[in-house]
Amino acid sequence: MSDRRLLASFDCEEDLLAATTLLNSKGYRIVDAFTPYAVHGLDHAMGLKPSRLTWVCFVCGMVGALGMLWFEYWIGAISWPIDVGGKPWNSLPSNVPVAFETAVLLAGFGSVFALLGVSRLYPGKKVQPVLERVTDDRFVLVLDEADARFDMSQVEAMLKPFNLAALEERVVTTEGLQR
Amino acid sequence: MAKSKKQRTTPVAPVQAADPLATLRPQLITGGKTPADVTRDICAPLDHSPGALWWSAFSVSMTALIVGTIAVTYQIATGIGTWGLNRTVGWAFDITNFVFWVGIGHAGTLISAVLFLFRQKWRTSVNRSAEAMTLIAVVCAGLFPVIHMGRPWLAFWMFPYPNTRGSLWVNFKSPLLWDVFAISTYLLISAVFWYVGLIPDLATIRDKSKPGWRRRITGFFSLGWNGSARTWHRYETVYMLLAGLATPLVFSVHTIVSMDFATAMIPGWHTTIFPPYFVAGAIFSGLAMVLTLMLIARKVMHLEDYITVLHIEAMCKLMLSMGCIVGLAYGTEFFIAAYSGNPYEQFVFLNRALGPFSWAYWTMVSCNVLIPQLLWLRSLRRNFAFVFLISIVVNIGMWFERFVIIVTSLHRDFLPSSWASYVPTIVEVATLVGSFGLFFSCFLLFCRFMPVIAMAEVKGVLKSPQRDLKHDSARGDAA
Amino acid sequence: MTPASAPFSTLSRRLALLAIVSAITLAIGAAISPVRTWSNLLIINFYLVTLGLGGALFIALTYVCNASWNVSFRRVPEALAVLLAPVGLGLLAVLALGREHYDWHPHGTGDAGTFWFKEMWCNSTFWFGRAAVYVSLWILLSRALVTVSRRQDNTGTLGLTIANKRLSALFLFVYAVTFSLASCDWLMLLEPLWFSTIWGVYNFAGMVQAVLATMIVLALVLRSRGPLRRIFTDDHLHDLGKLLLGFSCFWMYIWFSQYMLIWYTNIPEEASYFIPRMQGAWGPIMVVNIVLNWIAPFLFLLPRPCKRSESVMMKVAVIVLIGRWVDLYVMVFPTTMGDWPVFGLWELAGGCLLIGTFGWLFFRSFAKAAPVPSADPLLGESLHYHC
Repeated sequence: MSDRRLLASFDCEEDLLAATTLLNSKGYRIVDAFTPYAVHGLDHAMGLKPSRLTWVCFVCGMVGALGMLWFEYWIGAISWPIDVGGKPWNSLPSNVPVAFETAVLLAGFGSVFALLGVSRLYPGKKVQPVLERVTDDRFVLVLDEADARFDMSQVEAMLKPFNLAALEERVVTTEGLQR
Repeated sequence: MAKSKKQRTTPVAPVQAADPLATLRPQLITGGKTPADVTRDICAPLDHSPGALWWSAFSVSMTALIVGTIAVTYQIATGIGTWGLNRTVGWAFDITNFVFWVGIGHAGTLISAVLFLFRQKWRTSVNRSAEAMTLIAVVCAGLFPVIHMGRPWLAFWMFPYPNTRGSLWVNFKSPLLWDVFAISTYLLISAVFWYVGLIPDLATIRDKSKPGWRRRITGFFSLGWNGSARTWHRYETVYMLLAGLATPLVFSVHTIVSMDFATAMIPGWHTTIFPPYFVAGAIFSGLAMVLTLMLIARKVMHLEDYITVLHIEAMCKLMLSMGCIVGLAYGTEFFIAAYSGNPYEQFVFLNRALGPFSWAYWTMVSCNVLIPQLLWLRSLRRNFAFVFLISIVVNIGMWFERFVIIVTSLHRDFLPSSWASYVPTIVEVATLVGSFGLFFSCFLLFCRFMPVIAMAEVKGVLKSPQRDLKHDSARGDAA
Repeated sequence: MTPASAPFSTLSRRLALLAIVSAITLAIGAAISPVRTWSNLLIINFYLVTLGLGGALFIALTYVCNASWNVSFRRVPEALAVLLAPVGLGLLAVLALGREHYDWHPHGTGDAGTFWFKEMWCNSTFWFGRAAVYVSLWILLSRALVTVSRRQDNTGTLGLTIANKRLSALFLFVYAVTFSLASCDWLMLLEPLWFSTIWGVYNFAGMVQAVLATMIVLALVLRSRGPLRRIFTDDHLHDLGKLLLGFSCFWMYIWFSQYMLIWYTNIPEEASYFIPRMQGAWGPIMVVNIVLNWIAPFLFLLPRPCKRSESVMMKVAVIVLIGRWVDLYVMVFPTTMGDWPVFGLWELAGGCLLIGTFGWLFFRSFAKAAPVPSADPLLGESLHYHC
């Protein structure tokens, strides 16, 4: 990866999608794209793999359910058994609701914190958007000007049919992408 | 702006007027909005101080809240004896309000999670405020059991923590404890779901704002969101997971609430249909409240292009179907009581329809089942004044449903010598008024300080579906 | 016969043969063990009726929701709905033959005063007349839905879509009331004094689960053998998988709600249903029921790739369909056959009769119309559908 980036801006998602599909199929290295909303099918166009966060959710949910079932069993049958309404000390049916709630709670929080972790999102994080309008109405595709054969004019010609709104080059620094 | 609009329409062949798709798939957002328009329209109220209508509504709500606060302070200082309960009717107003408010919350989750899973695009215009409604309603609901404890400062005893009393644990076999877990989980997950949905919009506001306090606050809470497709990709996954979790959660919450009654042996409470019946009733009442709020919000916040006749009609249809399900449940209860041959079951239902609380019962039946049948008529579904009226009627009917279930089942005890009646005291009524005050004050504050419409979601449904399809098929043919 | 049916003529013949052989076996069974044979016949006929009704329900639900994803394979549930006429008549015959299983007697003379409604409701003529009314209403309305959809093939008018939307709303209304009552009349009344208000919802859950699994199997078969090739896509399969996952959980939820409330209060007249089914030899079958109807589909269908995999989906659907049979078996057999679960030749023959009749009738009715509703205005959306 080089430290030079090409930013192509578009005005609508169809253009971004089509351009991404084309460039990806031609073997250009797509670093990222920036969009104001989740564009359906962009992950596929960029060749992103399905997220593994679902597994985090599943594991957290199982831990919550089984952990709570065990805790309820321990409280009801071991730590301080109390006869309630003649029910057995270890009453599985009455332990299910709370175990279910705990499963949902842990699964939900687990997946959200995992999302924040892997996406490096945290409160008060300083951020320099690639374009201010990217959270408003602009769609930006970021390409890596990877090797010597990267031909600016060729890329520009390729992107022209997609109603290219702007094209600019940036350099990667520790501060982010700088002009 | 003009240039970008032109560009947006050029790649598409003009849609023919006779296109049947145009009839089946009408444009959700009217007024030919571009994404930039959406940002501007939704952020606009944040920049202006609210109008007279908002202030008058807010002062009425605050007054109600103050009345409620005084009532609650008085009853905590004096004791639960300030209520109209007696030894036979040991649960009445307080629990009715609790179930009512939890139910209101459910439509928010239905719209944000269940309709998301069913890919109903119209939900995007209402989900943010419906979720806010959920959060506020659950807070209102949670207050009632806490007040009922009499010593609310000991509320933390409800949680299982090691203590110096033994450790004497909470009773996991009690549905009241299941409620503690259900309601707190529901509150937390709804809050997280709502906040996760807000992150991209907070980033939008951050990038739109001039340097200042608003930019600093939204900058802090938007967690450094930059619109990266890689983040969006994971975000969508987590959003889907949260929706998938919130859907069974919303079922479980009202199921557990229904089990507060159904696990008891009181005829009229103990019946197996209670879990799904309560869930349907909750969604029904919540939809009515969403409609009430949306019809107000679209006028007060000038959202006519975003909350259109399509949205209102869709919600009316949902409300109608829920009303029919609730009606079926009422019928089933009556039918099985007669069918079972069980004298206690038969008595309780006859007593509901013909006994001293029959006025409440027939209010419930007419408001929940009979009057909503008018929504079969398309012209009435499109008449906003009428829909607003119906939504209020359903809210009243659903409050009475809980009152009927709770009070009529209790007031005729097994022993006729214990029969009693119930009349709420002024303190109880003031508490209910106060909860409405809290609900509407919070909702009005939300409208004032938050983006009422999920911008990042609405922008995704702006383009016309026909265009989507044509583009899609073009892509498919090329590939 | 249209070309669409050509690949299925051999299959159809084999299925018809299977149906005939198993019918003969059951006829012998009727002479040797009449009650057991009748119980088997009740299960398979009720199973078949719920598949037909489920097809109509799926069509109606998708119409009222304005859904388009299902349009490309809508002829599958339509062919199911057409099945209602023959299997509905079959069920009525079974009910007429087994009237004595629905007799009830008040326990003790003192209670007779509160049983006046039951006396009237379960009166033989009224009971059978109601069944006839339910079945004819279902046949009539589902026929109408299918006819309108088939007529659209020639005209392609939007008006027919809208007509079907209205018809669907009517169907759903009628269905909700009649099916709740029917499940009480035909299954709950087998336990003469037992009652449960959730019974209709419970049967609804099982029915939807089974019909989704059936559609998955049929659509996959039709895809691999031609008519739905490149029409029924992995995205459609994926969505059917999600629905099956959802309704398996819904079934479990309703099952648990009923069980938990009866277990918790432990009132004798309610617990009388679960005691013979949970204690003793039926206990393990109850566990198997839960494994087949919920645990297996839940675990298999959670990962995304599984819902897009033909082989996994086929297996899960078959598991669920077996689970549906077990569910009905647990509802019927403990009452009619007593404390000990029986499984043998007659049950196998019953299962074969179910598969044979169903398959034979289905492929026949599927061949009656074009395999794809080619003029539906929403077909385009459905074919280019990505989930």
